[in-house]
This record gives sequence, structure tokens and C-alpha cells, in this order.
Amino acid sequence: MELFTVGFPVAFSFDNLLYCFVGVFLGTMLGALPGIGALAAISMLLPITFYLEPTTGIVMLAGVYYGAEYGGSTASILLNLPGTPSNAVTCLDGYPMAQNGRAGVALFTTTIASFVGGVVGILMLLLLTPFIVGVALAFGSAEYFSVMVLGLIAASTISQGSAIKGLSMVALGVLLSTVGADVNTGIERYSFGFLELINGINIIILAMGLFGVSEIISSANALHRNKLTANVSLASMIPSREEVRRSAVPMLRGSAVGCVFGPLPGTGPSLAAFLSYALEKRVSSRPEAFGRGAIEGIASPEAANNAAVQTAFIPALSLGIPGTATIAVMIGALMAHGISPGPRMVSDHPDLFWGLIASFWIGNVMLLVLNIPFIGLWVRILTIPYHYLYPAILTLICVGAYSINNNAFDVFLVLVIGAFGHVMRLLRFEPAPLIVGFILGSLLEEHFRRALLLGRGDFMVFMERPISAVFLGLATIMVAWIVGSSIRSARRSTLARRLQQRTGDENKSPLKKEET
Amino acid sequence: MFNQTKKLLATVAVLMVGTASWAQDYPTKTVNVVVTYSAGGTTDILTRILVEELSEELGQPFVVENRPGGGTVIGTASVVQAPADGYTLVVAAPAFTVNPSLRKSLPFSYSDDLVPVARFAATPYFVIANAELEADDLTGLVELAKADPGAINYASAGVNGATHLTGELFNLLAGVELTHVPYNGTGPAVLDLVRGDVQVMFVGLPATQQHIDEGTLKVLAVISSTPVAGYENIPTSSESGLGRFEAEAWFGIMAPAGTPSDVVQTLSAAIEARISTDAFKARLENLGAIESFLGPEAFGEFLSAEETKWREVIEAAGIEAQ
Repeated sequence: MELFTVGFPVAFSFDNLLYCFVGVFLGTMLGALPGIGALAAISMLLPITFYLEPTTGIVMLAGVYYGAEYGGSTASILLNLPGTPSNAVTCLDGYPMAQNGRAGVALFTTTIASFVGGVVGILMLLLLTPFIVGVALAFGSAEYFSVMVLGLIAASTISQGSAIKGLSMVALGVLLSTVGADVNTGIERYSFGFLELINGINIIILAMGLFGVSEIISSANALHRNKLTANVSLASMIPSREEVRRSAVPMLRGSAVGCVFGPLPGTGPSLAAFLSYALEKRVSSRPEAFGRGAIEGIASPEAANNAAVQTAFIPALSLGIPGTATIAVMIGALMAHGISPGPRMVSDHPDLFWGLIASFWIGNVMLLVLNIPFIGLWVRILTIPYHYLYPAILTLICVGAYSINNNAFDVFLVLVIGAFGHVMRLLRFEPAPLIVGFILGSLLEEHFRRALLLGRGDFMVFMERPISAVFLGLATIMVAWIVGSSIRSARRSTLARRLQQRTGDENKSPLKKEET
Repeated sequence: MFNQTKKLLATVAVLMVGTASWAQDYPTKTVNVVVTYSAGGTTDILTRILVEELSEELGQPFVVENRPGGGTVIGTASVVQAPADGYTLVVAAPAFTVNPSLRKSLPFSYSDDLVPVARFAATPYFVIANAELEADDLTGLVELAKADPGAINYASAGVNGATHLTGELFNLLAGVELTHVPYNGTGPAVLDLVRGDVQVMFVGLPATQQHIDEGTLKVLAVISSTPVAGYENIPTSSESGLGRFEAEAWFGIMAPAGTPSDVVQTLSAAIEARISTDAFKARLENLGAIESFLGPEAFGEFLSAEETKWREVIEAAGIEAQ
């Protein structure tokens, strides 16, 4: 009940309300603009927080973080261009919906899904924070490794098109994650003598290059392709009964997936979004609709990434462990004020803890207003002519890249990665699995080797620990499922070919090969 | 004789006038203080507190510029190349005394291309153990480690970092073999220490204090031969017969070689004047740091002694330079 006695009075103070609004507004705007995510925005805002009260500062930064998850889907739907990496999966069905003239409904659904995910996430945060110490303590390196294995296998199922291409992009991401000093020996790998690569490739640089720069190059090549045609009116946002029915359960399922993966350090909202999409496609009665504008395919991941963003605060606020890079920056902001988040923060700084959670409620309601009645504003931001928008975004990407380390090397790196990403796009390789491979790869290696080090080289550590064994079991089932469904779909397409030959109807298209 | 004394006095007087005029001339514009770590880390926060004080003391803005990466080498290289006029400074940290032994090729020499200005703060290191470890002091830990070599794990916040090398220093001095388990940062390392996957860690208090208060972790010793201000009740390493076991995270200011010695003196005096205030000490305390001043000469001697110490440790531990 401290939420009401301590939290809301703090959150409703003028400063905190103002900066909460500033945070969610900036978050939505930067989320909507492709190329700049919450991390770059928060890194840039960090200096301001040194001059604010710690609570006010963290309320603003958190607002940017979850606000970006709302805004990020707008560009995914209207431009087929993820606003933030965790909105990438929303492109798969959001953009086709826009092409089918359902852009308004898609925007409405993602906002409601974001709100549902956010609310479920905050509830989990409230319920779980007191108990989380025990849960987090149950996860050692062996358990993390097994979770990562499951995550990687799921990641390879998310790509559109060829499963081989998806897998190879996951593998490439894993390989890229090995660049830099080896965590166990400190020996440099693939740094080619560049001091800048000792700490590996920065995830922000990779994401900005792959999703920002390469998209701008691709779009500049085909300016007409993704032209914004949707005129989003409030009336066009009202979903049909069928659409409401189809999206309600996926929103809750997505929220659940988000709440599972949000608190696990290193997994974060992107993985939650991808996994919830994969799950939705698996449980759906019409998997063939996915990728062509299935409303479930946007409702579930958008709920998942918002639930994950809110629940990502659980390990940070209860244990002081940042689950994502963005939260790490926020913890840094708190430490600058002499507050170290940890098990005692709730009792030592109740105003900060409860005030922040209360601001989540307020911020999410603000975002609901910003993203439904005022959706036109964000759509209009996207209608800024490309010859103004693209150079501006490119400039912001370069500024953002430079600002991470104050180093020009990162600017060149982001451009090189962007050019590489463009070539990959031309060859129809997707960047999303690469990012997942990159994030999970380094964690996978780190936890795998540490688990073996702690187990003195005994591989049985992964099987002897119950939690680890369960996740490895799930991963095995998933592999079997993928293999099984590929065989089924191969049979089906053979059958289709035979049917075709028999009828001799060359015009009838064969059943689309099921994507795995 | 009398004449000579007069001459000497005159020279001193001229020099002092010279110093005074320099001191008045410096600083006349913004001073850049390069931090070789990311914004938000301990080094960054401590520096931001210091520059606030220096800006007030010297009447010109001192601003922090974060240039992380390359194990502090990138940021330091940029300072080495800057004009030696006192307007570009770098924050020195333990990595500055470790890098010469860890890296085969450096684009500069720490001793030839930089001059020490002053050390201003330190974070004492402690031997922290999981509460269930069957040892309550360093002597107990050594006995336990000798009974079953390699069985006890110690966590570090990163390979070749201060928390790792302090562990290797312990192995070397105590003649034991604790197994090093590296983590990516202090947070996850402390969590596994609480879980009991690793039993010991050599680290500062802030990240562990809450767990110590809750009784899941315990402090075995402070890694210092003499009692540390504010932690007098914690046994020192010399009380367990390991007097040479000394390690801490420390923070100082260095300038490009060739920076006029008057400027160095002005800065050092300003730092000394400011860091002993109660307000400064209180802000450091929040970060588990203490005020710890060394002037230019003493800081220089400290730096070369540290470099020798870590070179020995790195060689003994068989860590290869690259």
C-alpha cells in the first residue's frame, strides 16, 4: 500500500509529472523515428539527470525507455521500418496490415497491446519484487546457458523466408559477438589491432547500423516503395469485432512471455517480442496468415516488449542487476546520486522506489493518450519528406554513435555495418535473427564456459540442475517440432505438386511452403 | 657566502614571482578532464565530484569528457597528444599501472608521456566471502585453501582487472591456489558470490554492503597493511601475517609530459585544498571511497611502485602480454 501512501504523492509532484511527460513524449518520438532507440536517447539525456533530483531523473529516463516501446511500432507498421529493435517483429504483420488498409487498426491494436503489456508488467513488478531475490538466486550460469539455448533455437524460427538464411544470420550474430577480449583469458579475438574493438562491437552500434543506416540506404534506393499512404483518422482506428476477438488472448499471452523474459538479465524486450511472435505462430489455428497481416502477430509482440520493459526493472530495483544496457545506464544515473539499487533500496529509498512505480502507471496512461487521440502527430512526423528526414536521421545516428564513446571510430563502424546490412537485405537475409544471435551469443559463451569452470569441466552440470534440465528439454522439443513441421510442409508441397501435375492447371499456385 | 645566499634568495624570489604570475594566468579557459571510462561508473562519478570543486576553487569550468574503450588506452592516447598546457588532463586509475605489463605495444609510455599531478581518492578493497565459508579471517582462508588446492573459487569483475589481479596477488603472497572465475561486471559476480557458486571476492564495499548487512556475505579483512579510516574495526591483512597484501582502487590526475610545473603545482594545491572538506568526504563516502591525497612527487613514486608490484603478479600468474 506504500504505492498509494508514498508512491503517488511523489509521482504527482509537479517536477515528477513534468519530467515523466517529457520522458514519455521524447520516448514516443524517438521510438517512432527509426534508427534512434531508447538507449541512445537515454545516453544523451544522462547529463541532464545530474542536475535533477534522483527520483525525477530516473522517472524521466524510465519514461523514455517504455515510451519508445509505444512509439516504435508506428514506424514498423507504416514504413516497415522498426522504430526500435524490439519492434522489428511488428513489421512482419504490421506493415502488411497497413498495405491492406488497416493501418489505423494496427496502430490502435499495438497501443492497446502496449498498454496491456505495460499494466501486466507493472503488476508483476509490484508482486514479484519482494520475492525476486530467491528466484534470481536460483539462476546460475548453467541455468542461464540453457535459457540461452532455448532462446537461440526460437530465434531461428522467427525469420521470414528461408530457415537456412535465418539460421545463418543467427550464426553470424554469434560470431560477431565473439569480437573483443575473451571473458575468461582476456585474449583479444578478431580485433585486428583496433583498440576500439577490445570491448567488442557495441550493441547500439550494431543495431543502429543494421536497422537504421541500412534501412535508410534501402529506402533511399526505392523511395516510392514504403511511401506513407495511410491517412490515420480516429475512425479508421476502430477494430472490427473479429479483430478484437483475435487480438485479446495474444495480448495476454504476449504479456506473459514478456514477464518471463523481461526480468532475466540479458534477454530483454527484443527477445520477448521475437519469442512471443514465434509462440503465437505456433499456437495459431491459421499460421499461414502470419506475415500477411495477422493481427495476432502485432498484438502479442507489442504486449510482450512492453511487459518485458516494465519487468526488466525487477532485477534492477530488487538486486541492482541491470537486465539490459539501457537499464545499466539508468542505474549509473542513480549511482551518480549516491544511490545504489539493491535489496535494501525499497526500505532505504521508499520515495524513489514507489514514486518510480507510481510514475509507470501515470506514464502509461499518458502514453495511451499520446498514442490514440494524438496518433496523428506521430504519423505526421513520419510524413516529413524523406529528403529531409533521412539525412536528419543519418546525422542523428552518427551523433548517437559518436556520443557513446566520444570516438569517431564508432561512426565509421556504424556506417560499415549499415552498408553490410544493405547488402544482406538485397540478398534477402534478415537482420533481426543476427541481433538476437549477437545478444545471446556472448551470454551463451560466457555462461557456458563459466558453468564448466565452476563444474570443473563436467558437462553433466547442465543436466543435473533441474531448472537447466527443463530448459534444455524444452529446447529439444522445439527442435523436434521444427524438424517435424519442416518434413510435414515438404510433404505438403510435394503433394501440391502432384495435384498440380494431375490437374495440369499451371496457373494455380502451389500451396505456399510453410516457413519455419 | 653571504653574497651567494643573497643570490639564491633573489633567484627564489624571482621564481616565486614567476610561479605567482603563472598561477594567476592558469586557468584562463575551460579545462578538459578526460575520463577513460563510461559515464555513470565510479571513476566518472568521482571525477564529476572533483571537477565541481576545482571549478569553484580555480574560477574556470573544469569539464569531464568520457573517452572509454581500449582498456583506458584510447582516452589516454588522446590526452598524450594534446598540448601540454594544463587544459587537458586525464584521470588515472589502477589500469594505468597494469597496462604496461599487460600490453606488448602501447601508443605511448605512461612514465615518459604523462606527468603525475595528484592522487585524490581511493576505494579500499576488502576480502568478502560467502557467509557459509568455513573461515572468518584471512588466516582461516589460507588454511582452507591449502587443505584443498584449487577448490575455492574467487570471482572477479573482469579478467585482468583490479579485482582479478588482487586475487592473483593473494595467491602469490599466501602461496595458495584459489581458482579465478571471471564475470562481466561487479553485479553478476556479487550475485554468484551470494549464491555460493564462488566463495570469495576481492572488491570494494558498495556493491556488497547490502548483502553483508543481510548476513549472506561477510567481510574477512580490509586489503591494507594499516587500518583504513572509517573501517578501523575490520582486521587488516597484516594482522593475518600478509602485510604485503595491499590493494585498492585509486584515482588521480595526470597531465601530458611537458606541462609547466607551476600548473601542476597549482592543480595539486587546489585538489589538496578541496578534497579535505567534510562536504567532499561525505560525497565520497556514498561511493565507498575515501579522500586520499598524494602530491606530484609522492604520486609519481606510488605509480612506479604499483607498476612493479603488478608486473610481478602478472608474471607469477602467467598472464600473457598481448
